[in-house]
Amino acid sequence: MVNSGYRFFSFIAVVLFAFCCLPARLGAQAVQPASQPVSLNAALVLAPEFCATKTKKGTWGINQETFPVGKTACEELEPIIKTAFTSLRRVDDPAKAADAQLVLTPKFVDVGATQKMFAFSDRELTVLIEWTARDKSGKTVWIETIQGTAKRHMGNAFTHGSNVKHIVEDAVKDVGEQAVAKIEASPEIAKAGGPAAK
Amino acid sequence: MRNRLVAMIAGIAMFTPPAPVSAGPKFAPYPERKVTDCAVRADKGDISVGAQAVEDTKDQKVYFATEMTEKGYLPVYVVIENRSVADSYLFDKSNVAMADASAGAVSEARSKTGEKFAMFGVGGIFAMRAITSATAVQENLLKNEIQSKTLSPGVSVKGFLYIPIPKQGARGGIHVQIPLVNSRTNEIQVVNLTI
Repeated sequence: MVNSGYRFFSFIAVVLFAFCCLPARLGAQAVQPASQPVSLNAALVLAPEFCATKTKKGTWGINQETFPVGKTACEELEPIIKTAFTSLRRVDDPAKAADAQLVLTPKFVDVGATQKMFAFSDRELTVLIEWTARDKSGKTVWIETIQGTAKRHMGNAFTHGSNVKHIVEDAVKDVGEQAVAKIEASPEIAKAGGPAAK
Repeated sequence: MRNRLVAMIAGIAMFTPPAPVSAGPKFAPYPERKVTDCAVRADKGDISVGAQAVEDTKDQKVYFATEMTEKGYLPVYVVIENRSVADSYLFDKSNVAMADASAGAVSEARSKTGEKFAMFGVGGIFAMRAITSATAVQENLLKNEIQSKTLSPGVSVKGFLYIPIPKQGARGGIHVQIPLVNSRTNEIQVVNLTI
């Protein structure tokens, strides 16, 4: 009797999920535009000083936290931005990207982080990165500031360090994914490769 | 007894973050405006700019959870519209300049594209840390600040500039100079506003 009741409720739950949630999910997927990489040979400049960027928030000795945004950005951004172009090469100096049709340089604008009283309260991290794209002649063709956000538990004495690492990763990935969408939609970047470009 | 004490300490460590913090403030979103809705407007070629200062300290409390005037900053909402049907313009926040309206042009600077244009004395725009030490208030100021952007045909950018003003007494007029670079021709359009 207990088993049959359990089966009945499981069946109802599966049916409800199939009718309510799946169409919404499939619909959401259907409306997403198909992204296409821009036909350009691009270079991504991740300079050592950019990769070394750390931001401190809060008051020293009381609630100060350090966010290693540069290290995370230099680990996470390249594979994400690569999807925006037919070809992308990582360099640490713009001078090493002379053969690229487009040179893309990120710069940290600032980082904002809220703090919460309880370990299991969600806090928010905002990372602003300004992207500058230059064509082969060195002319700036595109500037865009992208705000990446992430939410995660504040964490307790044992989990705080790991939570900081993950919230920075999530915010940086958000910046990267938004950057790809903006790059693919930009008429200025599409023109940078000349008439042959997308 | 010892076990209870250990359990109590572990419980406190589980539920509290490693450093004490206060509860966060609440912020109302600033209503979006078009250029035509702003008190101060200026046009130059394809570019239209509107500005609206948030002078009232009660409004500052509502939108920023802090009275910015008494800390020496005036939040000014700025909206820049590209009305061209063909050309794109680059708005680089770092090239925005401001000065006391009575001071006039005092210096020259270079844009990102290397072109020269006349500029007034530069004020401190990045004022978050000077305004407050509360992290939530700082983050809200950052999220509302106007940022660099490419204005494709028909596109606009909006957000706040935080302009330094005297903490005491009535403020004078403030010149704000906003240069935009045509991404095709490299020509610079400079829009001047007095707030």
